[in-house]
Amino acid sequence: MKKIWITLTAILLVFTAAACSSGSNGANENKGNAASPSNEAKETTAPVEEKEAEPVTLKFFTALADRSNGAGKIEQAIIDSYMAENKNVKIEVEALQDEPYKAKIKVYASTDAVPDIIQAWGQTSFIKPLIDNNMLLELNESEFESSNFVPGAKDGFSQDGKLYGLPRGTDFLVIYYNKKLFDDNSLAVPTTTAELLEVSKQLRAKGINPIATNAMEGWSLPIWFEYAAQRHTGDFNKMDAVLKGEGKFTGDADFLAAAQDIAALADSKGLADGFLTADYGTSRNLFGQGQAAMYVMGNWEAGLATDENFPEEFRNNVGAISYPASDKGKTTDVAAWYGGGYAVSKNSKHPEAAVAFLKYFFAPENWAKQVWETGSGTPAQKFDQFLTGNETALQKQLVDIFSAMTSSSGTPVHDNGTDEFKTKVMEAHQKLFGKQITPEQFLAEMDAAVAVLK
Amino acid sequence: MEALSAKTHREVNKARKKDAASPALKAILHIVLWGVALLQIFPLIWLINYSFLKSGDFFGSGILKWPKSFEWNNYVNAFTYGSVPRFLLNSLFITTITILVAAFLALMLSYAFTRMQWKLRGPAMAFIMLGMIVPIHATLLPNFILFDKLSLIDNPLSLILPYIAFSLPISLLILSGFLETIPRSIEESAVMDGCSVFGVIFRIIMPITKPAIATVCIMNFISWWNEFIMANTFLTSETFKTLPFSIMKFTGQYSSNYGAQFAVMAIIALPTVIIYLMFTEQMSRGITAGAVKG
Amino acid sequence: MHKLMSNRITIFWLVAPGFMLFLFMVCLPIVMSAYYGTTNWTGIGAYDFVGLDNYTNILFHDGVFWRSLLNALLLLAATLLIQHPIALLFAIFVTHAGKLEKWFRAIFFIPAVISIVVTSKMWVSVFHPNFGMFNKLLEGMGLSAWKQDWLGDPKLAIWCIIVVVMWQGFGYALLLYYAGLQGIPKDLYEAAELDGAGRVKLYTRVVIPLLSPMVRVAVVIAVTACLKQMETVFLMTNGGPANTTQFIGNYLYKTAFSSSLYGYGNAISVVFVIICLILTLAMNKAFKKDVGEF
Repeated sequence: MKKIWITLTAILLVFTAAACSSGSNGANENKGNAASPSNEAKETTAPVEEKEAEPVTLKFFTALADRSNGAGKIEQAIIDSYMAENKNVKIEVEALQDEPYKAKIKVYASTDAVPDIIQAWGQTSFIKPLIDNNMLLELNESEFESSNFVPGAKDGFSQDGKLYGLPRGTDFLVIYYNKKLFDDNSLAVPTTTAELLEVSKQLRAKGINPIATNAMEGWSLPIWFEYAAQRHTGDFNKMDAVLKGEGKFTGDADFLAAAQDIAALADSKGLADGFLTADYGTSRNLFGQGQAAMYVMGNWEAGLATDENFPEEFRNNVGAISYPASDKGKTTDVAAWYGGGYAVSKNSKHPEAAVAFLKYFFAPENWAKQVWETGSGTPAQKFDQFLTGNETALQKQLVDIFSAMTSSSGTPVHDNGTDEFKTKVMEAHQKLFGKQITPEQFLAEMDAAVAVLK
Repeated sequence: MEALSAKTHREVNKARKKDAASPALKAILHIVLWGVALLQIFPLIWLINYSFLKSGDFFGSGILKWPKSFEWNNYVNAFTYGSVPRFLLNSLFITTITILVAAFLALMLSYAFTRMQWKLRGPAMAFIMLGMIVPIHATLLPNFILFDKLSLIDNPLSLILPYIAFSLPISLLILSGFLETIPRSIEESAVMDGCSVFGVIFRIIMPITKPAIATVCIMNFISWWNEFIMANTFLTSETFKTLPFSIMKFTGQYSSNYGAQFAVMAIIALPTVIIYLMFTEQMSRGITAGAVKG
Repeated sequence: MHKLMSNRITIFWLVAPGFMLFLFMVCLPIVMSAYYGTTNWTGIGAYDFVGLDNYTNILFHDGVFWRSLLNALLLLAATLLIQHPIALLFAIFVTHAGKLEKWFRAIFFIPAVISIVVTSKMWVSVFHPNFGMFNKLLEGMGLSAWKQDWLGDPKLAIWCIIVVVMWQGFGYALLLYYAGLQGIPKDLYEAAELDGAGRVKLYTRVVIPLLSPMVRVAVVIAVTACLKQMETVFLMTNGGPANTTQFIGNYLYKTAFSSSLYGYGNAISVVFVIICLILTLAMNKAFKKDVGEF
């Protein structure tokens, strides 16, 4: 097959070249330009092959698109310092935001051209197809012992007892709030789900956007719903059981109540204007610029308290709470999971170099320390030795939520299956939060999504 | 209509025509025109205005805002971190090659389709014309596999080849329409003088068809300069990335800095606008020529 | 002469490069798509053949696909019924603008030369419920009650998209009609005036019928552009909320890359191409009938 393509292009190129030269008497300007693409191609491929012997080039593909803030900045800093220490290694970074990243990784995978080191999520929807098709390199667990990963953190990256990736952080969904907006309007930060609804109504009445989130991408909504559901069922596992086919969403009083809670919140315009078209940056800005009182987002946004793009008044007033409690679910029941991490491509020409870099990356004083100290997230490694006491109030609140955790949800619901399942789940949630379907219809759509898994 | 009186009245008529449109009517016409013109460029003005603001100033009331202090820093950031100069060169490189080669191939094709005598020319031409309605996105997925097999991923050729191919139908339409209007007698005398077909095409036809070639180049320029889905899919390293990618990259990296985002958008938008304003005359003439004859 | 013009080798060299490229970059991918469309490939690893299941699913069970097609037709209707008449009217206005003629022509065309990535981002900001220009404008006029979440409202979003697409394409349509107007002999205006025909009559009775070849070109371009619409939607709403602004180009991209239904995505693109083909053939037939009338 391959040969045919090559012959075809060869023929094509010959034709083009021949056509140019035969016409050259009258078309000088065309000739020069038409010839250059092939020259260009040669120039770019040749040096790589020549230098193959000594220097190593690693392609590094990440979804931390923001290289000048938060986790992305640290990732880049570690890469830079690694390259400075190992002159022969060149790491080429390609960074895209989550959704474009996931689209592009599929393009790479479908052509068996996965970059050397990729960001990976320890979740079925992302990593399973890659492992099943033999695209990821098995890692040797003992090599990373000194990194002190938290027990269980690597589970999502393992399959059949083999390890295929390493987690960067522990993620959990919280509600950030702007204390000043609450104080100015003499409102209290909600502690129960009923209060959350009530506060939202009052904020709205005062012309303030209650809750911002990035519903355009869609992944925060299913995790939010997991909270809402847990506050009725009292058990995160109930949803997992439904996914496994033990029971249904439709007809379950607790799930219906949870969906009704969300619908009530949506009906009282508890979500910020334009939340359905707000992407990550937009929603973050809305909150950071003091335009919304609350922000449903992952714990990795501790940097909100230090981001110079936001007014000082905001930075001093941002706080975080766990999702409000109900009579069945406590605030210590947290939707938490091990988030993004890295994996190495099986096709990598320099697997040892890639693994060596990961070892460097996950050395405690690199990623774990830096990410914690800058408030860019909670590492999936032990980091108590890096607690300095100088953390921002926001960081302290986040770590309190984390350490008080009594039960956790595990992998977000939408990541528990195929991508088709994920799309369906996210769309169902967007419709529910966007008031386009009733709670009953929502449950039916969820069941339809689960049906895709069989 | 009597031709005679028409001629005598022509001068009078012209003068009358100018006066006939009463000043009031003229004024209304101009107001309407300015209104729509403003509508067309207002977002651009707004974009430039906001590119000088701090992110925090975006919220609040007021449509246009006089910045308290001009945030030139936005532009500095945009230039340094958006890699604008490099992407601009890449875009120029890829687009230029595409439009030149496309014009060249289309000229040869249209000559063969309008002048040469061969059995399959009708069906062959219709076949290529059908390509006009094939959406470029429909070829995105298979082309990726194809380029991967050819090891052309992350190579400018992966954009140039499909760009040229998709330029052919519309270029062919315009060029062959134009060629039909050129009398064959000129070519015939050239052939008598011993000129080959290629000689005829490049020495005689090409200079005559310049306006149509210009049209073709301009239309192709507009479509490929702005194309980004293929560019984003087929190019992986930043070495060859084209300009539209700059903004995608920048919104990811500066998601919380609206001012800088607007600055990078202004930087991307302005050069095309300036280039366009410089060539506006040729551009309109080209489209006029091609459209009227085609 | 005749011998030269039917020399097979010359014809081959003229046609082969362009034709081969076209086959290779446009036709081959479609054939590949048709093949992958019969599989359940997720983009990675092995796949099974599912026969024509994908195709029948698209045609009979896929609401989103038909919604996308409907949106394209809606956009087309808006373009033809709103954008084109206005563009034609303004093309006539511009020809009467005197000294500023060139400037107006240039300003109207500016949106068409700016990268879609920039214009989309810009319009998203314009529609932004909090700091967008639209809501600020309404607020300024004391119409706060009319403020909308423009792109987030399932009923409004598609119209917002249509406005943006029409805005961007306005200059292009205008230029085409303007070009057509330039091709009409000046004598005609004078002759008509001598006849005592009013300006309006002059245009409706004489000029516009003469423009019909141009209208045909403009309509063909509009149809292809509307069907192929993808970039604006991709960047502004990604088809949301709840697929109400979905267009086929974007839908197939999303299906293949977000839902990992690569085989299904390919099947969509094949059905899409076929629908485009049918529409074009129908259009050609309709226009051929038209030609007879003039």
